[in-house]
Amino acid sequence: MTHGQWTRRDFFRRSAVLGTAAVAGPTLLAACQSTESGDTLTSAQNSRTIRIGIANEAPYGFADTSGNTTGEAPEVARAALRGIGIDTVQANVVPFDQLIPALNAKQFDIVAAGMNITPTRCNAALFSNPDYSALTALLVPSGNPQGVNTLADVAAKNVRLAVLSAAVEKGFATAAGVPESNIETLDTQDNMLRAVTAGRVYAAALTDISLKWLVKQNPNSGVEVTPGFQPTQNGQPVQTAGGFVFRKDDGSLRDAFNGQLTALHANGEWLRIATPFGFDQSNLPPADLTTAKLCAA
Amino acid sequence: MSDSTSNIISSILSGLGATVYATVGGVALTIVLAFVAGLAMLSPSRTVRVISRIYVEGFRGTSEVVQLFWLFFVLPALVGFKLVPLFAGIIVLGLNHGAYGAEIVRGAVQSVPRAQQEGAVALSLSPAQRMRRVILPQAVVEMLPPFNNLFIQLMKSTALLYFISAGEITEKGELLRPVYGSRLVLIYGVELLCYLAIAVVITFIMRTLERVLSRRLGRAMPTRQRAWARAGAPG
Amino acid sequence: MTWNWDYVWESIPLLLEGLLVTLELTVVGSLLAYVLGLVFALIRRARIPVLSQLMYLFIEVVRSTPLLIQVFIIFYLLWPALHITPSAFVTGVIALGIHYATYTAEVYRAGIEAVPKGQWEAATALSLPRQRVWTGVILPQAVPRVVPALGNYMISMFKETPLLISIGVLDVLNRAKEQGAETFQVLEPYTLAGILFLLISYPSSILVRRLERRVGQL
Repeated sequence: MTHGQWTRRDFFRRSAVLGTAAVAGPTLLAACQSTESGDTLTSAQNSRTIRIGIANEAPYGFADTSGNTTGEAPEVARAALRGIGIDTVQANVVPFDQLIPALNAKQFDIVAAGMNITPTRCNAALFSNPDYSALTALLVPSGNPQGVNTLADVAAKNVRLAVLSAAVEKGFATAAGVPESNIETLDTQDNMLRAVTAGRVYAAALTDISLKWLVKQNPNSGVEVTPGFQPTQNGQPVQTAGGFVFRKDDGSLRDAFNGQLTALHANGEWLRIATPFGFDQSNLPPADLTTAKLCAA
Repeated sequence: MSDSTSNIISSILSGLGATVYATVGGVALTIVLAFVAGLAMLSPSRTVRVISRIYVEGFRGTSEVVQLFWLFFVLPALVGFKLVPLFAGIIVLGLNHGAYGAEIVRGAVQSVPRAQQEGAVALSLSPAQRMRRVILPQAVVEMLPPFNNLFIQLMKSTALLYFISAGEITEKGELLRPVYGSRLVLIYGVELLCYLAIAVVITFIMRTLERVLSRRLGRAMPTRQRAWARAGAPG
Repeated sequence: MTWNWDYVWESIPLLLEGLLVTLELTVVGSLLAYVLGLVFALIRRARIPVLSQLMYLFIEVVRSTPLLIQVFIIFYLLWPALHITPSAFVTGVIALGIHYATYTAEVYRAGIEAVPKGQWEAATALSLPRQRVWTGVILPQAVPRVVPALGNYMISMFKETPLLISIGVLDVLNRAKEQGAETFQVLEPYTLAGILFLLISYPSSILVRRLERRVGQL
């Protein structure tokens, strides 16, 4: 091969590299947005808009038949954010187990999905004050032929259980003695319903509010919800509470949000917003249950 | 048309934009990377050859879904910037399919008969002219059928962007499932039709290109039969 | 974020469990694709009035649409319609098998057509029964030629299996995801998963390339 051969290739490669730069350069620049210099609260207040993450789990945060984002958490968040000058809320839907990773990857700024406050999650992100408290329940076939009413029953009757990926119920189930081989971890609430109706699992574990809503929306699916119960850990009943999640360095946003949230709980607004979604007085978090306590548990 | 039917159709079609965008962006990046890496693998410089080999084997040898997860979940935490899902998807699509494309380019350029190169030298054409007027036109015609297959592969791979919530067709369909659980045939049917439509468009464009470029070479276009056989395994 | 070696050693057993599932999916799925593909190719060739046309349509649709959607269709539409509930693993094998059968069908077709016309004519001249023509003359010449392409498809399938995590198959990526979800540290599991794929597919593709060279000398 002569030297001229290389020159020809070189010429072509140079123009190809220019081509790469021309195409990829602006694309990459547009694609990447480096860490904002201003903090999230200030920039959200300036632009009057913010993004939240939801997991399409009804009734906490989901898209209704018209495609609008609604649910207890987004609506409460909307009310709280309006109070600090942020009028527009855009929602991103991601699978439940992606909520915190996507939050930390800055795909959105607040998780509004009714996420339970747990020590592991507290290590990865910041929680608001407790927003609501609910009991755990099981979705079972109509008539509940196996008579399974609690997680201990699930373990005793040796039936299969569906849980939501990265949700707290899996831990409660294993603590109650359900073997790992009987637990099917699914990524959406809808897949859990289908698993029960198809018979792949006997029961699915979620909060009672969530399951009651599912049954209401799917009246002919042949499923019912067991009465809610408190899960136990180390023999003690555990009170859970869910809240809104922020990135670790967004303390100012979290504190501003907390101020509004406390006001909403106190003046009855929270109850007004949450009742259409199946919440009631009993779901207001008890005064002595603080985020600090739940994070330390 | 009933309310829910039009809701479903418009919902899925709202994802068509993202799918087409990802396909076009992915194809563009693939073409660029395929030529750069493909020609680099033919370079006299050993370093250049090795680097391009590593890129090609690395991306061909790992799973596209894993690459997607890595770029979208691991990279932002490592380097501090966040990638818009659709663009992260385009980058992975381009990097992955560009590696396969590099092999296609390399094979096609190598398959141009030596006599052509020697003839061009004998005619005192400059290196740039040799490439532009003799080698490349012939190589590109050879590349079109396998690239046709590759681009359709790429379009199918846009469905994987479902995993990073990029707003494309498959994701839109899955979001409808909880609400319209009884209309799955319609949901999946519309999705399939969308992808088929895009595949037909891609094939039409590539076949037209092949016909036009073959004619300019003064050649008859290879018959469809032989084109299929040559297309072979995307590997 | 720094690389934590202890975390790596902790994660390896779980990931290897997943890798086993991935390999099982690949092997069984490929076998299904090889057999089914031949069936598809023969049906197409046989030019049976309605069936062959339907087969052509089926092959084109399956080849031109994403495997992910086909997996969803089988898992969320087909099984409930048939009132059966095969596991996610079985669903994965079937989806992979059918999808790749449409690729291998084309490969078989090319291989069969590459057999010289003279072979067909000689077989007819020898009055061999139809079936014998196929099993004794045509296929033994067509199949070895396409083995490298079939091998490449197995490697492709191996790399496509992770999309089955969408229906909950516990393959290597899903295990990596589990690890990452539990500890919120995603760097090590996902990188490990990528490396495991490379460790298996790179040597395999070298093997197939060698096979290709050997077959080219046939």
